[in-house]
Amino acid sequence: MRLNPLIGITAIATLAFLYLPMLAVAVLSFNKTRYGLTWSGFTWDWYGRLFSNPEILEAARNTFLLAALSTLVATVLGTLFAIALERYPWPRKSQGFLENILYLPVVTPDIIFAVALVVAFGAFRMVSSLFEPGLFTMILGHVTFQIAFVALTVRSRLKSLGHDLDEAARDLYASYGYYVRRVLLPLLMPGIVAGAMLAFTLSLDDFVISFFTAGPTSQTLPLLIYASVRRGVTPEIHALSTLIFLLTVLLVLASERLTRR
Amino acid sequence: MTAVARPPATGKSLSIENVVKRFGDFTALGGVSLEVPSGEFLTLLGPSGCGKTTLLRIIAGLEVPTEGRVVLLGQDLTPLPANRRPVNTVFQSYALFPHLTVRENIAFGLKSRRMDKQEVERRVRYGLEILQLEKFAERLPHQLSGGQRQRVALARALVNEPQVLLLDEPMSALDAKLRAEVQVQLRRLQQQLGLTFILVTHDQDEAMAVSDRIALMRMGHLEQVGTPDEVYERPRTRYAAEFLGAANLIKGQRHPMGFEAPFGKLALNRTPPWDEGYVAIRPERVRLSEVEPRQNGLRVRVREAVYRGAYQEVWLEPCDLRVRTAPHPTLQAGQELWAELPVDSLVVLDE
Repeated sequence: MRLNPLIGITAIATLAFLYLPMLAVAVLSFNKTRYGLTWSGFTWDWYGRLFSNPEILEAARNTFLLAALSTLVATVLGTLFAIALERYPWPRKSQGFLENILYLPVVTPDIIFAVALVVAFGAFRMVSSLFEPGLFTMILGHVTFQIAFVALTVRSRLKSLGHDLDEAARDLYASYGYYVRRVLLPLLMPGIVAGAMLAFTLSLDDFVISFFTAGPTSQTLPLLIYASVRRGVTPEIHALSTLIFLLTVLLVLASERLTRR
Repeated sequence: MTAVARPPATGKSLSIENVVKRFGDFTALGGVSLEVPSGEFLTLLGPSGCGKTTLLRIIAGLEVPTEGRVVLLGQDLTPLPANRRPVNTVFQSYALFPHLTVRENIAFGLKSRRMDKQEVERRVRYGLEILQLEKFAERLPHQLSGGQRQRVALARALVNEPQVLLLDEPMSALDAKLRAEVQVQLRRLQQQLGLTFILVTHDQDEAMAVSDRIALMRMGHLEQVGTPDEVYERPRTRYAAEFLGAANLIKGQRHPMGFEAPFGKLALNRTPPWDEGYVAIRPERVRLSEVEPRQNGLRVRVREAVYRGAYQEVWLEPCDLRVRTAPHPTLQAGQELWAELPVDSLVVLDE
């Protein structure tokens, strides 16, 4: 059978549809004119300004701090959750229930989660001022959606390991702690790192949860971009968007490579 | 060569006392008792689902018996978890740690007990040497062949100087030729070390080749325990006769002077304990001749003769006997001759 060339053309057109807008942003970030879409020469200028703008630097700092801390918490909790789900002898029914509940945050719209967090934090605020909108509430918010992604990646890795090694370790005099340190964690590491990278990326790019849980001093890059765009899109924003996009692509590629191994 | 194994202790080593294992409604083991002397190579033989692996896992501590005890050299092992029992297992899948080299795999059971560094090194070297793995010491499991992996699994278990080595179908992943070789090596290793080996297999040839004794299992019970020739030559039941090798089962009635089969009377050297039942004879025990034998002779016709190289397989009528004889170029279908069922070769089955 001869393959219809239209199939190939459709595929390329689809890719163009997906990536042309991003490409346009990247191209415009090197454009000399501040306004309009006409090309008037190449410049690194906008990238330079990016790094001398205190507001953007502050937002970048917040973004990475938030992503790092929430990823750390989510990775530890997600890994433990995956191990417990896969290895603890749950009754069959509760195992199925736990599995479904693990998927739920992945498919629930962010906005629902965000509203729920606003309500919850509002209630907690009556007990402690810790829950005033700010970096702490943002970390909690991000952790809630990151855990599921970490747990899912770690769990698929655990499934592929099976139970043999755990029995072999026990047969060879290993305590549970020794087994976890010397066998389980080293073998899970690619899955854990991939999960963490995915979680980091998600936190970096998150807008909805951040928007609802942020305080006045915890502006992140996505929030900043949103705020700036309302004032008019500038080449600086193009430059910033291009950088974030590149970083995301790198993280996703790295995480892909790790899970494939 | 540095010897790691201690001289075998005298008397009984391992006793399995009335072990019962139930999984929900299913009874995997229905009260198994067995004594295994030190230094014995015992094989648990049976089809899948007969409980042999469950029994092995109970000895290893990977499964908790519902009832009964496992006692090793006077010490009750039953309450001890797997990691505190002086027994080691070679798993069917080998279960090598994929991220550790051969050397690290072999050292695992020594390091997990925080054994002194020099002792770890000495024993690892010994393990590599005795299983000819020196060349592969720094390789990872996925860089090894099936046979090499199996040797690593053996070395990893043996360097711990277990009182009992448990082997869970360790040869099932090897091809037939290599399997025969490994069986011989395994037997030699066991005799050299004087250790107690308990092997689980469904392969009767393997069981015969390596064992001091075979424990034939059926549906969670021991069907017959004995040396390979006892179990082969003197099967007690139809199941035992048919599971180990081929057997001609002849149904008939007890007769004052012996046994009455549909095709004639046969003399036996033991009075059957039943009125109606079975006697068995191995195909290679039936003798074919041109002249009428003195006792237990049958006039038969060759229904089919198949040349198998080393021997010839012959089916006879009207008694429906299968015979294995030295190749006999003149034997042809339709030929008439005498078959002798020697008295000493006829085994009266209890059930």
